[in-house]
Amino acid sequence: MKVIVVDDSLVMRKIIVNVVESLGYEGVHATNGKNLLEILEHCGGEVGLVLLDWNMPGINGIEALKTMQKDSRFRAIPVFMISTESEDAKVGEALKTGAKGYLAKPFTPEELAAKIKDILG
Amino acid sequence: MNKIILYDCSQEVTDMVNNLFGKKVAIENSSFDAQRPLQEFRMVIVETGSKKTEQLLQEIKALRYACNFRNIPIIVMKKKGDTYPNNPYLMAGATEILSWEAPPLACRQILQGYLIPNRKPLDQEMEYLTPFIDSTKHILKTMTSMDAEYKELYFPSDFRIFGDVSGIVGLSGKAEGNAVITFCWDLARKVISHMMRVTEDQINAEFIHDGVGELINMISGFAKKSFVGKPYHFELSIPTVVMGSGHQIGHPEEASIALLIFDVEKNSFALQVCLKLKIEKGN
Amino acid sequence: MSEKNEILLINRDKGFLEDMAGSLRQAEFKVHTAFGMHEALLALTFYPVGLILCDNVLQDVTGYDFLRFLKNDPLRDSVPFVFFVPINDQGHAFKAFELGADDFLVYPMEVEDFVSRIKEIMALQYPAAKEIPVDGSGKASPLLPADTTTPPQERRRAKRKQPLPNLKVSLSRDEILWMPGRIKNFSLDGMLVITSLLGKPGVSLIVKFSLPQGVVTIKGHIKHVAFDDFRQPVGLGVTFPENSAWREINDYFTSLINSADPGTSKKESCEQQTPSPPQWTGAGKTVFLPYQGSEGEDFLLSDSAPRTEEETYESRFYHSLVGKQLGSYKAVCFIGSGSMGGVFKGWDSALEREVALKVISFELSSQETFREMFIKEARLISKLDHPNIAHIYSIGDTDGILFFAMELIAGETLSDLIIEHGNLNTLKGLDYLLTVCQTLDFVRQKNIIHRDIKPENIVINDKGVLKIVDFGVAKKIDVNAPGEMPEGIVGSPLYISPESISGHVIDHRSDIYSLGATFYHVFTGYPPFEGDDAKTILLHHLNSKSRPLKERNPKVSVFLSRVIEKMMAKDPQERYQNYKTIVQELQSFRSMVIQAKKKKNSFLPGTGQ
Repeated sequence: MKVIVVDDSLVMRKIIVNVVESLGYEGVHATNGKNLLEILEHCGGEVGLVLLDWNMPGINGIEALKTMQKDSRFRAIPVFMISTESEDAKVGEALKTGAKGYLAKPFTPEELAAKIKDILG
Repeated sequence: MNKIILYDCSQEVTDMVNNLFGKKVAIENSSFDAQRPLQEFRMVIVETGSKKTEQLLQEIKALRYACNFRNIPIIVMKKKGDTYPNNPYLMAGATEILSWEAPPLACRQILQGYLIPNRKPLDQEMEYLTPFIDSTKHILKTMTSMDAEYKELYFPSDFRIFGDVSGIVGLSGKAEGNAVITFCWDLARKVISHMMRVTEDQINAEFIHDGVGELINMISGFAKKSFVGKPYHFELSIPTVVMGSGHQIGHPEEASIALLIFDVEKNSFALQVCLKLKIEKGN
Repeated sequence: MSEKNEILLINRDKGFLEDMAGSLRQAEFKVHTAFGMHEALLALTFYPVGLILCDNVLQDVTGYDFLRFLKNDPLRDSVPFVFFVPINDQGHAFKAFELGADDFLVYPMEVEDFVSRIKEIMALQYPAAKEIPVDGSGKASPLLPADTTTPPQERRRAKRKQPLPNLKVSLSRDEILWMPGRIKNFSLDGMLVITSLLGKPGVSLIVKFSLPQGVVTIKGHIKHVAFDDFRQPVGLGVTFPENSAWREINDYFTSLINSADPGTSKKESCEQQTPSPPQWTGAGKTVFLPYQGSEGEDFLLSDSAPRTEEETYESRFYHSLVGKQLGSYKAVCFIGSGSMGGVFKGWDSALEREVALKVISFELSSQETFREMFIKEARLISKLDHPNIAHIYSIGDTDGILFFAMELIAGETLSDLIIEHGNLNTLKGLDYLLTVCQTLDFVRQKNIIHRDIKPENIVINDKGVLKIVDFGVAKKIDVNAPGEMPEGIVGSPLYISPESISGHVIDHRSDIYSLGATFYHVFTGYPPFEGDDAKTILLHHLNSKSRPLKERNPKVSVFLSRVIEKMMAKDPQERYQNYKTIVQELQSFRSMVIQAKKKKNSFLPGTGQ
């Protein structure tokens, strides 16, 4: 199963993909919202989870999430937001828009692994 | 007793320093040594004229690194008739350039000024600095599993960065200013390799620059949470990463610049924070 | 036009080559391999190669030599060439770009990263291809219009030119922090700039060009980042949108090169002796600012000017005190220099309050006579308890650095207010004059003269309260020795009294003159006397009659003019002899004004009274 990791930071993507792959899933890199949507077009059927950063150039996390929600093909894919933004208002907005969960940066790999396990079982 | 080290200085300069300070200061004369740690000295003095300018600039750069972010002024004594501009020395890491043409009184006062002990922070400064200190330790522990020990802080008169790679983030809102994290390469590579859980030889420059930007972003982002609803509330700008040293950063007028030193396994990095409350002018 | 979208990989190591080729084939690219130049040239002949990925050292030559060879071959110089080298060869990135490489990649690199980078590069080269170009802005690059005269590949292969050495730019990610940069080479697409600012490929970058005719700002994107050495600045390849002002700048730079080099295009140099500045079409983001010449080697990054040779030793001395502990006070930041010394915003740790710290200049503090006088006066002034006088809290002497701590006043000086409003010919201005007279009267009772009354020394704090500052040059008149000579001329040229200039004994009437001169400036917006240098102004004080206030500002009342002129009589005997009289006259005038205002609701009347 594929897990798409969306973050404009190469380092963050690698850290998150490491955790994803240690749990046995296939990590896919996406650099921003637009990239994410392209990848979904390409292989959305195999995607089991999207780990999404908020602040990215171009289409940001929330916008990408909204686009996913509007598309019946992708609406069901669970999305987890990972971001430095962790004010209650922001978390609320993410959850309202359809995110299944929220993880604030910084996080330990253990914390991330736990959250992924929660969603994917 | 204040200790001053003079690197490759002439008898003239040694005499001058002796005359200026007399018994109040212990002077050591030595030939240039990039490896020697400078923590025990309150001031470093070098002289132009005997070496090629390019070499002296490199030496000043090395000395600034050897200072390990501490507030040790590097004074350059210029020989008579030397008209080389000051700015390259300042960019390399010199604190002040004095020439023989300067009135001795001025030299004495300036050198004396630099020897005065650093001030301690004010309570209102600690109010916004403490969250940054806690945030730095937390981010490093969480993301890299490394322990960053907060050592000391002082207030430099200039907002300049001396290090190999720096992450800068602008702060704006009710309070405005900047936060800058500066590393030397070796420590940067170490920290990023820990963050990515790979060996150091797999870390290339792109990772380092990206990682440093992420670090200052997270440090400022986490610190920001302490200020919600409080007077020092701010928002972050996109982090900018800058290579090399000597760069001067713009900052709001009349704001103090705090330089906080952290030690990670015997190496140091610096976090500079400048934050000023924006006063709404009622008229 | 046939689509050239096959990739040629060149590397000595068979295993590595197969791995690379395998990953690319999985990504649906058609891949050919070669161990050296010979094989590579064969492949180029037979296959529609759209991208060359080459190592630094091949079986027969170095990668750089191969690149050089290709660029000299008119049939093959337009094929995109990307280096893919081991990490320790990273130091040759600049060389690679100078030779004409399109990008420079470094291994070890994760397979996914490698494949996505190749996809990006292919997409950029061939936007008509199925992949939509990926760039950081999230916007797809516009598909080229069908009617371009120059085929896209040719435009991209535009020859890179070396600019004149003095071309400097500033770069920023957010338009707030700017870093200087030096243009290494440029072409129609963009430029390679050496700078300390880092960015990732695809992100936007704002570039400011300082040209003789003004400053132009354009938004571009980072195409690639080249590191030569970790401690050196990097090379950023920056591209600009097609219809931005870059086209004109490119033309302008090109014309500069052509005009500088007599060998090329003689026709051009005949037609235009000097390159004419480009006509801005306004396309793209252009911002014009008055030209700011940059002295020295580096641009200003901060608001404060870099410390130069010219900066006085005084200010460098004050600079050294920032962040230091002076006695029980902390010097927090430098505010400015005044007549006697520098002023810092400080903190009194004992009483936990903000103070102003005035540090006496080293010239003065080194003179024994001055020190004595200073300490005597500080004691004197600290005893003055008046709401309109800035308090002095204490004096200190740390390592020969003499300073005093006084009330910190946040507000604007009369000088600031004059600049802001033009003039203060208002009721408020009148009240200020009244307050100062009353304060100086109080001070006079203690036999003190201020000696430096001027708009800069009268501050209106945030609550609107007036404070007189800088009593430091005040001198106590020794009533028993009227013949005593003063120590040197003290005071500011614009407001100094004639008797101070000529070295006569002065008394409180000298302050009256200076106060008159100050408020001449306040009410009209002009100082009583002007000139190119201090000497000219001093001579005016001695010899010339000041122009009537009404001439400078017709709205000033006749009454007020009379008062000011009397305060400024050359002969002290002709002036008001005490403040009380002035206050009385002003107060009656004030009542009249208030009455008139109630009737007419206007400012100070200009005629009649």
